[in-house]
Amino acid sequence: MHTYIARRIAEAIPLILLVLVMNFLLLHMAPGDPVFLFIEGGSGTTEEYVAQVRKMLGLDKSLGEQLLIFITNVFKGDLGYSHYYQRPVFDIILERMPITFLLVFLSTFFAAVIGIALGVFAGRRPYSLIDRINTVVAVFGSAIPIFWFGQLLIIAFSIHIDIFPTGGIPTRALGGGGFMDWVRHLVLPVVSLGVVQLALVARITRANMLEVLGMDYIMNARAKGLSDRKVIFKHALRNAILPVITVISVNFAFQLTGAMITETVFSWPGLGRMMFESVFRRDYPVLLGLLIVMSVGVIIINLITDLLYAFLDPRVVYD
Amino acid sequence: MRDRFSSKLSASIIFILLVGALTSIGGTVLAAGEGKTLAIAITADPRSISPVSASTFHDWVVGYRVYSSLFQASEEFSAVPDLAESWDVSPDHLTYTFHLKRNATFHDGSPITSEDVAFSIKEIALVHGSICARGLGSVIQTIETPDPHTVVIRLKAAYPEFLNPYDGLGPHCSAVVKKSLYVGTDVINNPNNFKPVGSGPFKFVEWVRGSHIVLERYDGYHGPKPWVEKVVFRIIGDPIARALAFEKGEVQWVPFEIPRSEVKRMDGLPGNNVFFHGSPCGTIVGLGFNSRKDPFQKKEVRQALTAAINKEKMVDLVYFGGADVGLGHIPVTPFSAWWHNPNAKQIDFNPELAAKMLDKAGYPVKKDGWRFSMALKHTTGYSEHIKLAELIKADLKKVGVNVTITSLDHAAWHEHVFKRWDFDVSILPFCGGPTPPTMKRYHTDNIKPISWANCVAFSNAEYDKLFAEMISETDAKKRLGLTNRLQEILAEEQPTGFLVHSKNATGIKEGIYTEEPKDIWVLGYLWMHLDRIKPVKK
Repeated sequence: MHTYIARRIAEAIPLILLVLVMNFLLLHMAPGDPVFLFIEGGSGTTEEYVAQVRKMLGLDKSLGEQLLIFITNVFKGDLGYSHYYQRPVFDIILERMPITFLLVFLSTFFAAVIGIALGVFAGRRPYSLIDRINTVVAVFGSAIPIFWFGQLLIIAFSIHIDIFPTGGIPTRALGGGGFMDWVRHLVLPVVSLGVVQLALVARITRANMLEVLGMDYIMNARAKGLSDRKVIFKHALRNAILPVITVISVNFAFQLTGAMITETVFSWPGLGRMMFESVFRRDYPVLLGLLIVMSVGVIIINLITDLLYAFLDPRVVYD
Repeated sequence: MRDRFSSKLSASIIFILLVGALTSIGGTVLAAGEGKTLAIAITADPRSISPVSASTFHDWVVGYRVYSSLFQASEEFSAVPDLAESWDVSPDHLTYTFHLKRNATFHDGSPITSEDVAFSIKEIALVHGSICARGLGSVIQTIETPDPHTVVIRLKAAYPEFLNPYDGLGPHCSAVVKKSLYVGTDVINNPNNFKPVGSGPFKFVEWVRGSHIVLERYDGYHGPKPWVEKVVFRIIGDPIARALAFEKGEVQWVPFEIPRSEVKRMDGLPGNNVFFHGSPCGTIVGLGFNSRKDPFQKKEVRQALTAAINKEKMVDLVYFGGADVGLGHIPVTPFSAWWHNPNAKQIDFNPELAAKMLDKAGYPVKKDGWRFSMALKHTTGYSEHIKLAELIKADLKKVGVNVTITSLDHAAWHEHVFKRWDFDVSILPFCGGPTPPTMKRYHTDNIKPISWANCVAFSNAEYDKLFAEMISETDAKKRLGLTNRLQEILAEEQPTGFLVHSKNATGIKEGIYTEEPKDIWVLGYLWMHLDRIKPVKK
């Protein structure tokens, strides 16, 4: 197992390097000069000032030099300095990481629990009422645009039924900040972000349960007189859940920086919203830093998923 | 067996949902406004709230009241004392002597001296504050400090706008930092930039990036004590989320940024005061003609294209009434009305005349049904520009001009229009007004590949000459005469087809301010003077 983990980590290094180079080049090839955006807002700008800002942002060097500096710095643990925030990117990401992690973890948990439960139910009794409900939820979750669903939730549960705040995180200066206040602020964004995942998880769970429940060994298990719970959870779900775990894991990794719509609609000050804003600001260092987080996140989560496979399925053996 | 399992599973799901619902209810949070706390929605984190590297007007939104400056703006936008209790101007307008208040202190209690003021202008504003660097770096000759309470600034040449709160040595150019915290340090990376020690009516408390900024009343302030004890700037980027937060009362004030489409509905709700007002800088939305290219070199073509566009329709359909039909380069606002020239004849909507003018200019309708084609590039940074582009395309089609629309994100648009000049026409949102930076936009010297410069390459010898005279003319009446003529040239030449003067929409909860707030200049004034906000007693 240890050898396997070491090999996976060794394989990840060139992959990360490739991701770094690709991200860097793609971002710098996009039209738009960050210097122009940096000094936007005033007329009468001089060419000297433009040159001064370009130098300050390190954009006066050739693309090759910039790439070399960037990669060298990344391997030293330095993700650069944000053009907009004028602070180290590493600090900014660390500052926002917990808040995003909280949102993504809870929405994933919400989606996993409800989605798997719905999927199991539906798979166990295909074409029953619960299966039809599952289908409706799945279609609804897959089809509804998150930004619209988020706004509907706000209008329903913040404006008309005044239970939750419209967005943001608790603010001590406005008298908030306790545990219950955090819960109140989290419910709508968690549901909004979770519904899409929930739909996917429920659909995949159902499909896999249907397939597994039709297999001979399940019939055998039932013939042995095992309880329904044992058949479903010990024999069927354990086999059916492997692809579901893959989907949940990959989604989790992407949402660490990719929950930008939910974070924007709910004014959630996380990494996704920062990425959304940084794209328009052409804040290359922040964007590259976030893409590194996303890439490394995917690699780590994939590794964890593979290890989880071995834990859940005794047939999977590494080394 | 199956049924028992099903009911257990159902019960589990219901339990999870119930726990979720129940835990979500409850929790007491102060409503904005309680305890003299004012919650204001802003659209994004400022880049900086210290004078170091705050480069745009919006960066100053928070910083205005954390720092004091030599003078500030009155409700009429003239200079009134702040740190300087008075000042003298030499007869030749070359020397300004500021006399500082003796009781002014920084938020850490230490006194403010002329050394702090001189350092802040010379080493911070002119070097790192880009607005100042652009405008005043070439104007100021020396800054002297004959005693701890006197600052003498000598200019290289007369600059009539020197005491203009916006474009002269206003709050964004003379915000005073504590010299001892900055001298000999790496100014850009100085940690005090993010924990500012100012001397304004509010002191900095907290900045949670992406979420909020908190300021608290400074009891040792050298001016009148503010009524508001705490100001919370909540950062809400999404326009609908901002409007909903206001509607619910989570913020009491949304300056300038209520979605235009929501104004009518929200103003009708009890407790709300939502209305349109002129933008802080008098925003002109124009159609810039790239006069490097054929057929836009011809004045007659530019005039005809402006005449073919229905501006009133834009006001109704795109701005929901939150704009005026364009009246040239200087909008009619309390700030600039005195400079507006009503005799600078603007071009009215007249498609028949436009068609005749294009015929006469040598662009008749060809066999393919078009006179010529042109590429219109616009930024998606302003949501209304795509709608304007569609209306322009429809109007110009009627006079035989084929328009191809290219939508670009804001950064790419800057590159295409201002850096590469790769456009035929583009929708340009500019600040209008009589001040040198805005009037310089059409100067030949300003044809440079930089943001907001003369991207349309307008060049007119008379304009250049009059502009040079105007910026150093200290006699107000003579200056007005020169400004009037400059406006006439722009109206005649149409380097940019003036379409609309766009307005902003603000929402204020009833009960915040004692006077009628439906006036941009009162609002703009308050925006910079949160210390003067008072409650209403009805």
